[in-house]
Amino acid sequence: MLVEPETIERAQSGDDAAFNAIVTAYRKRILGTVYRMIGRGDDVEDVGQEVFVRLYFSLKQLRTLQVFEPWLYRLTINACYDYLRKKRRAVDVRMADLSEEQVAAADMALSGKRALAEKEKASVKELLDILLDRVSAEDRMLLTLKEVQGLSLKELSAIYEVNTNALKVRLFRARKRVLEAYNEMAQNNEL
Amino acid sequence: MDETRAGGELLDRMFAAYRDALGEFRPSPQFLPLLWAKIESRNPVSWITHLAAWSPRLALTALVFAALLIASLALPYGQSNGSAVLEASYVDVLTLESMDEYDRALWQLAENKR
Repeated sequence: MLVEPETIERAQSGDDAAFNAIVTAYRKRILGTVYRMIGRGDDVEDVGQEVFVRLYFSLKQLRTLQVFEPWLYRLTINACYDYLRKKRRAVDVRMADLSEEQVAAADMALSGKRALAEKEKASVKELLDILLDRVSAEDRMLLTLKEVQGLSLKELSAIYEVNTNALKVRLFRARKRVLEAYNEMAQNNEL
Repeated sequence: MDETRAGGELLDRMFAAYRDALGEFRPSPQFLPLLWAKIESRNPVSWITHLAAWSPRLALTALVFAALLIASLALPYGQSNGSAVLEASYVDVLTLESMDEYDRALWQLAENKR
């Protein structure tokens, strides 16, 4: 943990300085997670603040301090989920953001085995953003936590409170749905 | 099977590129002040605190209002001594209004004899 259990206890009893210490310790990590999950820089701080506001008002409900981190992740996931449900933009609008040139560059870059240049990475990111917009918010968040954030199955298991086998199935299905979205785009000549 | 593996590799490459392209997010210096402003705005305790701060003024206003109300109620009674303003009851006034001239004269005669 990034803070001592005593700090959490003090924050639970209403010590604002202790709560500030928690925010300062976890701010970078939570904002990074939010950034990866929602894929847009503009609203990251808003969603991140929402996470900490929820933490402030629900911290007293936390009984076992050892599960603080998975619990904080769960708050983050829920806040991102709420954001994505509210702000989910139409895929057609997103497509307009990506020029044909960018799409072609992304497709070309992905077909080869060489390392990608910065510009190509940006195009691939945009492409994956579109694909992630085409699957459910749940799929998007699970894949982001696993594939982008790099959380282990054990960590995900603690966050989602399901066993690792169930998670593997969920991940497999989520990946499959992203690939289906990719193939659909390819068939519709959107790539 | 090859197709599945190829699809899996494609996704892995996409996610790797995504990870690299995202980079680090740097919070603004306003993050903490704005966070506390949001907490304050949603904190029910702060509402009670505001109420507590205003309570002496609210109590004084209520006291003044009560005094004015009592004065406004007491004054007409005080001034009505000897006047006919409140001598007739509501029913009497209604009766008078619904009578024609003749009935009214008879009724007033009867009243005067009482």
